[in-house]
Amino acid sequence: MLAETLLEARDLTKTYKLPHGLGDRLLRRAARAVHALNGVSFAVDRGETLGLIGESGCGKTTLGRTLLRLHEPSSGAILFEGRNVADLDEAELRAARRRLQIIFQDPYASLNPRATIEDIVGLPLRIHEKLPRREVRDRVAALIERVGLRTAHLRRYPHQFSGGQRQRIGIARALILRPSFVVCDEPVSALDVSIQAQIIALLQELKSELGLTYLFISHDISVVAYISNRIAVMYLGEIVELGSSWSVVESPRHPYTQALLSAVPGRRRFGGERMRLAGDIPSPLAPPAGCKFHTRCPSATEHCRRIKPMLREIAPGEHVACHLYGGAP
Amino acid sequence: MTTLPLLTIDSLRTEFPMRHGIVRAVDGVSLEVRRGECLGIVGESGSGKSVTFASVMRLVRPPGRIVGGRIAFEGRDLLSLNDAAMRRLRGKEIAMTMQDALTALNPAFRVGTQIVEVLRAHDEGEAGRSHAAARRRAVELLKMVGIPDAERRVDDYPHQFSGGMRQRVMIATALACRPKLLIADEPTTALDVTVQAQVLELIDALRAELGMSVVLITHNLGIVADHCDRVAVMYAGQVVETGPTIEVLTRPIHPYTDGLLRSVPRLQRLTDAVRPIPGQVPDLSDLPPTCRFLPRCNRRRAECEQPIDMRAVTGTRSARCIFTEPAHAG
Amino acid sequence: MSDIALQAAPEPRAESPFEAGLAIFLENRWAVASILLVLIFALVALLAPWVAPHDPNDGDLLRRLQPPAWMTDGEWAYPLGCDALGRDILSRILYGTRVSMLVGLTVVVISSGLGIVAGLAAGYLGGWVDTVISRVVDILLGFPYLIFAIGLMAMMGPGLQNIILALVYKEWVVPCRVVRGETLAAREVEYVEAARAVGATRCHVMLREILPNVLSPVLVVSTIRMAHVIILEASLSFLGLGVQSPAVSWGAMVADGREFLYDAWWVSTLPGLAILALVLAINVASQGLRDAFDPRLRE
Repeated sequence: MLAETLLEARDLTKTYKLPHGLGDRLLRRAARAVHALNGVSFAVDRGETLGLIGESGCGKTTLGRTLLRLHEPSSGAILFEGRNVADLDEAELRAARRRLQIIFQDPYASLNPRATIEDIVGLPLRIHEKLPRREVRDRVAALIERVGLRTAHLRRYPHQFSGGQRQRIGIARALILRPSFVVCDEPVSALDVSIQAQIIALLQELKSELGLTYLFISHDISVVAYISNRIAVMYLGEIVELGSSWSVVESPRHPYTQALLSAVPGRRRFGGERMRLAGDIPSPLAPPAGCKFHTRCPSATEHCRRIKPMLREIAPGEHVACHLYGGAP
Repeated sequence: MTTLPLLTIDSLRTEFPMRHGIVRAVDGVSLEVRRGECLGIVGESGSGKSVTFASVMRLVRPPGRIVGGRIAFEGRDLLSLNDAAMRRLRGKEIAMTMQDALTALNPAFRVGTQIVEVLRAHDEGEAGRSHAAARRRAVELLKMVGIPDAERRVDDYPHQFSGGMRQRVMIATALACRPKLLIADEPTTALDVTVQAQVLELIDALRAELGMSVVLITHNLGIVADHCDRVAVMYAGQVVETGPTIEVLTRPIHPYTDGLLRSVPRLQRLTDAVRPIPGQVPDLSDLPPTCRFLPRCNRRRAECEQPIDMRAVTGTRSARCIFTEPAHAG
Repeated sequence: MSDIALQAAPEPRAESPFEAGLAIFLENRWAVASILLVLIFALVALLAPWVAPHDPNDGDLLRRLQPPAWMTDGEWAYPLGCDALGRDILSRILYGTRVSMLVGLTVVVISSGLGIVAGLAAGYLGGWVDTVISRVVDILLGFPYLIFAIGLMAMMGPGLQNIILALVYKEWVVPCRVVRGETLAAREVEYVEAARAVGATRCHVMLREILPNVLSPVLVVSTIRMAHVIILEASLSFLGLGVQSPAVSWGAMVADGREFLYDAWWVSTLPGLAILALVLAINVASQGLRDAFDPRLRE
């Protein structure tokens, strides 16, 4: 049974230009830019959870937001339901937002402190569907109960809830319009460990009940591996590896993935030396030439310093961007 | 033969009077830290893990106050020391690092200046007397914690370092006077996983080199598994389980420890279903007179309707539970 | 439903952030006392014609510079004495409250309204809107306040309406800057991004997401500014540029008594004390408001 592609990113880039003023021009300094996303391409299948991991500055947060055009892409396409999201005008984009949603990381900053829960969760309904107030309230109440809160909570304000409860409110807001694709941007990172488990369970239940597709972004590799069908690994704005969770975790191919996985705490008891990387993450303002990872890679060759490896499928469903896995660039 | 523990906390109680009631953040905590060991303190928000050690350092912010118990460091009663004596202790014998290095280090001063300040205040040798000697030592310390180009970077400001480097700078400052005890409060929470590993390995190496004891406060069980000899699990202001790390993590007795272990995904066991602990942490200003974990416990009995004390299960393990056997093996 | 449902935790009262702030404010005794004092002034302003013992413009030259009641030659019918034209000072102070309160309130309300709109637009819409508004603000801020007001009044002529206009002219930049700054910060907060993510229009974001959250600082700033405005009005009146007779202004009263400071100090000093009392009360009350409502101070 073939997987059906729900959303596809093609060569997505996002560049932030640094201010380049008169002084810089007079001193003949080159204009600088940060390439937060540098030609990212991948497809998400309907009904799957695609995990996205990487360290600070890799671009995973930017990618999540750019897919929804909360940040405008600098170039590239986002194909969803037969159209290129990057090309939509304001009205079409607003309509598309019914089907493309996002759950934010910070339960304290993602809810308007001066709005009631009913206002917050009902907002998408009021914008997109002209329903009488009573019906909005009923639908909000039903969803609130489903995510584990109570109808009595509708008239309360965010500050009266705990982090985990607020995150449930954020989830309800994202799902009230029954989107098909949801970007989960570090949805459990700001929560206590035992609450994380509750929210993860909730997200999984809702996914199967409502037929959702998730892009799950997190720096917590164990959580991502647990909840995702496939995992993409990002480094300095590019995807360096993409494959099923099982194969990425059990037999990581890209040296960066190997280093990441070996650094996850709790491995030592079960054997395995940590793979140490040389140096720090390079500044995004001055990314290395060739393969961006070559400055830290224990297996780097001269070839790696000069030629950038492309993301290639080396086995069914397994993609790596590394010269170690053979062939011409 | 038992040697005297380095730090003994006995029935510590610290509370915070708030508008809606008195929050008993630390309610009868007893712990000991032995010489040369690394003790892990595991807990979530509201467990009291940070407040306990802020109390040890006598750095609890008002309106919080210590209202009972004893804290003994090398036999000396810390709660009876006056401010000046406590200040002499802090930084010199006991040092603490915080979670957020950017706010813990003073952004207005160069890193070297901050380390020199500690040395000049406490060091009994040359570094305490001479500014030049203190500065040399500061550079040495930065090298020791793995800051590249230390001679130049000693004059940088905190914001010029990355998160992991800042954490190391904080560790360097803490270790400047070779304290006997390092309290590391969530040293890796805001850091990338590879940087986390580097920082923790650094702490291990320094511990071996300097022979100091370390208290590692964290919510991450994996870190505890990799780096701690013993672990104490805290919940709602109390210690609920202690023991050697391997035993506690593989055969937990207290249902909270067990629940916590089951609720965390593990890379080695991805196929195990993650089972959340139902419910929430109780309100610390309104605690019922029962076992505090009762509403969320899957092994409850009638006897749990009253407060439970810590009881020794073996020579090395204790748990605050009516049970003395883990629910399941392994 | 699965086991992840919440247990019955003690339910907090449904308390909006406003109610929470109000509770904190009411605990501050000085602030409450000050607000009551301000309210008394406001009442006096409203009820002056009924409360004042005499007509403020009715002067009896026989009582010229009569001292207050507790001094020799004073009488209780004219408790605070009389001015150079024999008019009852107490009544004039009571009537003067009207001008001070009216100018204070009107200027603050109008300038806040203008400032909020301009600040929101500048902060949220950015671009040329922000550039234009910010430059205007910068230029206006460059003029020293009093001299600017004097200049305007000299051009427009004295009178109540003109005073209000002259003060509003410059006063709106203060709330504008505050709101602009708050809006710039609020724009980056996640709940604003979340509103965009569900498809909210820019209008909705400005009015329903950002505005309610920037009102607190504006409220605090406005009450502080009211005290300033009252002093400014008094200053302008002192210089003769304020309201003219038969309207009564404390500033003008102070001016009237200048020549008699040695012999009949009460003519200037008592209205001066009235200004002091009102301004002090407003300042203390606004401090209390800031402590209660400024989100940055809490937690």
